[in-house]
Amino acid sequence: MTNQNQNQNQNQNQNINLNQNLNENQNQNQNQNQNQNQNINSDEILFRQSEYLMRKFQPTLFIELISKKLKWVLIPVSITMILVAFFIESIYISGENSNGSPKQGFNSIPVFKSNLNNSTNNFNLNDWELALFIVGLIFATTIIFLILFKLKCYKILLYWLILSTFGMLLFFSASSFLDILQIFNLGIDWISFVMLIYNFSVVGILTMFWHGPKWISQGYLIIFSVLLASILAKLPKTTNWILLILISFYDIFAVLSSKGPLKMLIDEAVKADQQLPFLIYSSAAWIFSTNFDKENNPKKKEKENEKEKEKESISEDENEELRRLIVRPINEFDLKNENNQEFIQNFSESRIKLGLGDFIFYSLLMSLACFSSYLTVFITFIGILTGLTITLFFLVVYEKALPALPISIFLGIVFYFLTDLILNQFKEKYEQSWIFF
Amino acid sequence: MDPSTPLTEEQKIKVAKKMYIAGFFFLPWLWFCLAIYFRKEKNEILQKYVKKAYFGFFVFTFFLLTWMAVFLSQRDRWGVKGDNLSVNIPYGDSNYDS
Repeated sequence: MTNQNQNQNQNQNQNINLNQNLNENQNQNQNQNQNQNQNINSDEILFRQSEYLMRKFQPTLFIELISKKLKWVLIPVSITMILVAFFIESIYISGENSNGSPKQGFNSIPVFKSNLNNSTNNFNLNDWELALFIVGLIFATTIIFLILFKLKCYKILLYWLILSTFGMLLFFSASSFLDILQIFNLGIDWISFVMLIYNFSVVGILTMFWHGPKWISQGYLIIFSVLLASILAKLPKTTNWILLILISFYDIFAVLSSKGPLKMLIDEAVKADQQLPFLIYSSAAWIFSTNFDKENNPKKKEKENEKEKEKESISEDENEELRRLIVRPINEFDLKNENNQEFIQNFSESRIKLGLGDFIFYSLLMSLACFSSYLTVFITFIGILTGLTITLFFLVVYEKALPALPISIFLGIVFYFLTDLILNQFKEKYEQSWIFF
Repeated sequence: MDPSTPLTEEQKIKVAKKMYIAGFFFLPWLWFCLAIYFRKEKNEILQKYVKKAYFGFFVFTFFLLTWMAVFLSQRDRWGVKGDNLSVNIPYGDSNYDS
């Protein structure tokens, strides 16, 4: 299919090059578009338009439009990862507390291996079996979601999501707060503790699922990802690494293959014309479409599910309007034309949505890198951001839901291991020999 | 829960009222969010809600902070009651006992 697209693109470009006159261009292109629109489906048109934009006429404009949206996805991801790095490094990395005792960060949540009663415990899992178990849980919850969605119980989905988010916010924020108290040797009473945690969770739920200031709800998404990543980091290391790799493969399978549950969910949502109630992070949140009657046409990125709940990005249909808006600049080569401005405005208002699970697994990778030196932290950070940029680029080119995890995670893991095995030795050598002083 | 469409005035009043009432359930942070959310509105009713929300937030936080200050400084003197009330008892000698 991509070969066909390239051929048609080349044909179109050649035809345009041959004609000198603007009117002839317009007529010919209109004819071509009319002929081709009948034969070709919307995906090819969108792909050709983006390619056309990129190559032929407005490369700088394209980069300008993309960079604004890129900025508003990269910034929260960076904030999340930096917060996780600080949090994990100050609390869980071995060192000393403020009162001189060694840090014990792993005492708030019991891991699966404790056999307190010496009873036969059927739940003895290895490290890697635990990772498999988590991925299986995620898969199972996606399937439950799919079934619920097909049975049209949208309310039940929403209430389940709200309840599980509330429980998670309560429990994980309380656990992290207790860890902070123990590490920094602070005391607090039950009344204030309950007030703080209760306030934090309830307002979080209200702003995320109901109305509230937009930056507060995005901030809650970030803090939620940080909390979950720091909780997941308490599992054994092997589990975390294997979990990351398995999740990336699962993401590719779930989003791109036709049997994948996420793809089926998207199709169901499109057919039923319903919005999926999930936790997502969307850029360009402050722009409301005031000029147009058409909806914002968001671009989506798929994500994977987490242990007990699903946070998925919405994938709405690419409507006629988007098709028309993108097809139009082919006919008008004048950049100052008003219709082009409309296209630009709509293009820049269409939002990129990044799901919450992506945040969580990026943060998990960062927390794993924190257990090694500072160098791995920075380099994994750069690796994840590079992967995210590449994925966004593909998103704009292909204009359908894409898995956001695999490229970032693979790049992050590769960079981490290269740094850990090779670069750290180099760093130690030049620190010892003081070459750079 | 509507993702992208801005609210009409009536909807805003309803939302403000619900958030204001919900803030009475020991949720000062919700009052603060209400005040921030409708900070730039020109409607009179909304401005009244914003003022009430600011007032409620500051009063409640004042009481909460006073209680926390009292507890953290006087916990040592309270003996068993202080230990029962506290979540985390810090290490180290207390200024009261020694």
